[in-house]
Amino acid sequence: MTIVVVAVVVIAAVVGISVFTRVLPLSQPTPQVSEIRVGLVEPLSGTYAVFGNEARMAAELVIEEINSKGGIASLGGAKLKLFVEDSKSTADGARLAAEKLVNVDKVHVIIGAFISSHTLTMLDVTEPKKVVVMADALVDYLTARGFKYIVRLPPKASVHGATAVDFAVGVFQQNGMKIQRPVIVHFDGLFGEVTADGVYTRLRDLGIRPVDRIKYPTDITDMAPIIERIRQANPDVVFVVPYYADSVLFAKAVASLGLKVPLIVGAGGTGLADPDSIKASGEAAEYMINTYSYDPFLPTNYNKQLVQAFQNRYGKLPTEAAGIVFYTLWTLKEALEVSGKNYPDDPLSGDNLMKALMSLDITSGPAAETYPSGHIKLAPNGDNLYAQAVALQVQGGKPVLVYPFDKAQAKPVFPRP
Amino acid sequence: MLGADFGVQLLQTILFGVMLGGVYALAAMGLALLFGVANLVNFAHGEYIMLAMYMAFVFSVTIFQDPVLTPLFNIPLFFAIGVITYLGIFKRLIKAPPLSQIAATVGVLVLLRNLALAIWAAEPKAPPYTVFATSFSIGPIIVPLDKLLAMAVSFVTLFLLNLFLERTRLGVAMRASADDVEAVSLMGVDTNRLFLLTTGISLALVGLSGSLIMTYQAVTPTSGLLFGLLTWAIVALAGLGTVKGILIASIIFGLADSLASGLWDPRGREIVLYGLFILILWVRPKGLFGRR
Amino acid sequence: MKTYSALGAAIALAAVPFLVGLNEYYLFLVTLILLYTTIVVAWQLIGGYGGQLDLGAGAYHGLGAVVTGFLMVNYGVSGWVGLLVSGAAAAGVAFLIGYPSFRLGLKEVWYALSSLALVLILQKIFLLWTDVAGPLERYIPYAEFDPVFMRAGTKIFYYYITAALLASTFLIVSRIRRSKTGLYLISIRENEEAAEMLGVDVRRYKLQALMIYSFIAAVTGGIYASMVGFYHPTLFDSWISIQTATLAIVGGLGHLLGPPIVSIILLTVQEYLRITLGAVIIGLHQVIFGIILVVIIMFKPDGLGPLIDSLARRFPASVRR
Repeated sequence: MTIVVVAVVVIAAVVGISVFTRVLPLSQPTPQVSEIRVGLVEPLSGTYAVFGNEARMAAELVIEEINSKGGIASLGGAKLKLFVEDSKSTADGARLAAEKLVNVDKVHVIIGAFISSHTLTMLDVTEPKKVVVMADALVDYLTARGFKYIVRLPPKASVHGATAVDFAVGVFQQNGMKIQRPVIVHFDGLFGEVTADGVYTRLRDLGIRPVDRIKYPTDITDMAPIIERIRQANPDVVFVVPYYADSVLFAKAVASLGLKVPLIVGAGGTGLADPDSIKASGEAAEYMINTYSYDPFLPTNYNKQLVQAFQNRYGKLPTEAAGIVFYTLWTLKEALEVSGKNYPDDPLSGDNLMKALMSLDITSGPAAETYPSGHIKLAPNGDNLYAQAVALQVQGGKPVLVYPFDKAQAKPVFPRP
Repeated sequence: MLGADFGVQLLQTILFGVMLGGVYALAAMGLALLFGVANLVNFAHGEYIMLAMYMAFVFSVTIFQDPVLTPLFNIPLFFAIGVITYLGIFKRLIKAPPLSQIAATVGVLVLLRNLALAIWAAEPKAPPYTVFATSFSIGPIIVPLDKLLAMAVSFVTLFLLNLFLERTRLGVAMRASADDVEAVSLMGVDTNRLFLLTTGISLALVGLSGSLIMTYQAVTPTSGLLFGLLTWAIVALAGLGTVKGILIASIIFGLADSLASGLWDPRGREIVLYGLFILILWVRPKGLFGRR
Repeated sequence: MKTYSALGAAIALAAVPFLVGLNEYYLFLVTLILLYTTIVVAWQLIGGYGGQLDLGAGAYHGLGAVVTGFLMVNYGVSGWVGLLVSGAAAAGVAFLIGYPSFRLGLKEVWYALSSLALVLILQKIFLLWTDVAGPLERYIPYAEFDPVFMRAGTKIFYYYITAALLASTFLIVSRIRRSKTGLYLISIRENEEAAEMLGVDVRRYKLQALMIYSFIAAVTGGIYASMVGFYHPTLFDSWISIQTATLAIVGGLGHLLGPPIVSIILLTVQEYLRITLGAVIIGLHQVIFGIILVVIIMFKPDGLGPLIDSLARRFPASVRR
């Protein structure tokens, strides 16, 4: 009788799990170059969902365009297929998403995960399997640790920090002043730290010492104590590195508590001056500035066309998250064309794809036309040699390009009224 | 940072603390009512507050522009939710042992939390700009108008509630029920209706406090947990006696909150709040003003 | 006779990796399910037998992850040692909080609340304690296959460790159930005052149960950290506490078979729903999970334990309550 029990248990387990995994044909398909599988790991829910959803919108738009224009010519017109996974705004979620994309969907390349610390956890999965990661996360670390299958096109965090400082110094200079009492405020995550370090380093190189450096928890709900501490320091410029929700809280707290500072400059591309933040902060967003990895007002033909298409389809201006995906995907396309031509036997392997990416030197075409500096060429560690960040300021409820000064649409409003 | 500057900062922090405490009192009052009158352990109280905050966001984005007007919708909505919750779930739990009440309301907690996840994708939401998001100065002290207004509304509501509990028949019945349910039912009061009303009022208070909190703070997926523990901590400190007790306990916690954030570190805030909670449980399990 | 069913279960457990085609992603999910089920089984000691609705699982699990991870990263200590150390640390914390709680007669909702508060207190402490953890994730060095260090690139390694842990936990709990300690614990749950009057040292047994359960919960945390290759204070997660308690209750307080079976089934269903529906309506699978819980607790407050037991009784000499 107990033999029956054993048999039932074992059979139930087998059936249950097989049904669960639909494994009964056990073979794994060998990748044919009929399609290129592109994975996208982004926070679609949780704290950073605002960015993830924008990235997804951008990916869908660009991939549709690439496919409709004939796909990858050197691979016989093979099309890109997008696999989207939600990182749930957590490192665990990003890792799980990467596991699924690599082991179940068998993607050839992953774009993600927007949040630097989440991107790092993905590498644990992708590096051993040689899946290329095209990171849309900014922390320097990602390309500094000897990871072999990662590239990163947007300017890294420290560049954002330095850009914020250069902009502030420039603005002060234009008004015949010098920065003397800067304060740095940032959230305590990896990205906040590194970007703030970038600000600090640049200030130090220019011989300026910050008066205070204030850290706050990422999930802060009440900014009043932070504003008070800033007020105590009596700064002439505040550098702030927020994510989205805290940037809204920050802006509103500055307004409601009447904090008077001549200049507030954000760094890092998340929050403060993008359409979602402006909508959420209302009038408090006015005159806020942040640095970005993408310039939606870049006057090249393709960029104008793409921005229009994005606005028509999604009803909002594309900024950081979308912009990075724009030029990352177009760069991928270029790399695929090269790989198909040079390595016809195995164009989609991690090694060959990396070689193709490294060989690129783009100054024209959609990738270059959407990139701030207009020039894409990768250094051996995966960073773009010609990375450049821009700065946008909210004027009249809309983001406006204020830096680099020679490309600016408008003069920055200074000091803050 | 010492001397006069520190003095100003301290005063500022204390002011924030009192204002926070005022609003917390409203949030905790609903819990105290339910626990006191109906002897019902609502483990999901915090999640209801989170729901109220999200609803305040929804109302202020869709209907009103200013979150200050959301109580007009939130109060009746949550009263109705209270009635439904009572009829659907709480009614069966009144007689059940505390462990079952906790288990069942934990189930409600899971449900509400995941509902928020499904609807709002666990995104933190801050309400749009309110016309009250300014401040005025009294000497060197800044008084934020939004927090002040929230506190004022809270005080007025608590005052009215106190009147209700002391002067009306129903209110007196509720207070009596907190002491001795059987005596109350023996005296002919329909306890079922009493508890129904209590739940309704409890959640209406939640609805209002959610709206008030949203005028100056954001709601995140972890808000439910935080407010749940905070309101239970306040009830633990205050005991189940009076509105006044809840108010004082709330202000104590508000001060702890503000002082921890302002003088130490915003990340230390929750350590202080929950640490205080556990300390109270160990030292004075009957609370400061308690009757039970 | 009982050994045959045990053998059957063992074979089923051992066969699972092959049944999922050795696919890393599915192995990951299955290992997670077993990890969480292990905590549920261990929880029976304090919740099912001791009668305390403990919501501290997240604290102990998190502590296991952080301590094990810290030792592996900063001192290159083997994960195995890390598991033991973190288990001891968790038991220590459990003692620190359990001793006063039980001594001062903290019961029911207050015990539940304070254990939940513990999860968050520890999380915030470790967020501030940058020497050990801090707000940045810490990454455990990658190794293709290093069984001494306890790190591997393939999940199958972790699967078998977890399966062994689950089996041992199950045996430990069923052993305790039958022992003097178990009887005392159940008498405490049934009627604490009576038990105390009869001379049962209520505090001592509750504390024992709490410490054993916290040790095991910490071990699951350490395994998790090694498997995902990083640790971070968000691993002090209140959801783990709540999930554990609810699964155990639905499975039947004090029942032996109910909780693990219910846990495996419901967690599998949750994963399945997430894979199929998860991208369509985010969180829908968890709403359904929540509904199931409320319904079961309301209509079958004893959980599914009695039902499963009676099913098991159809097969004579099987494992019983």
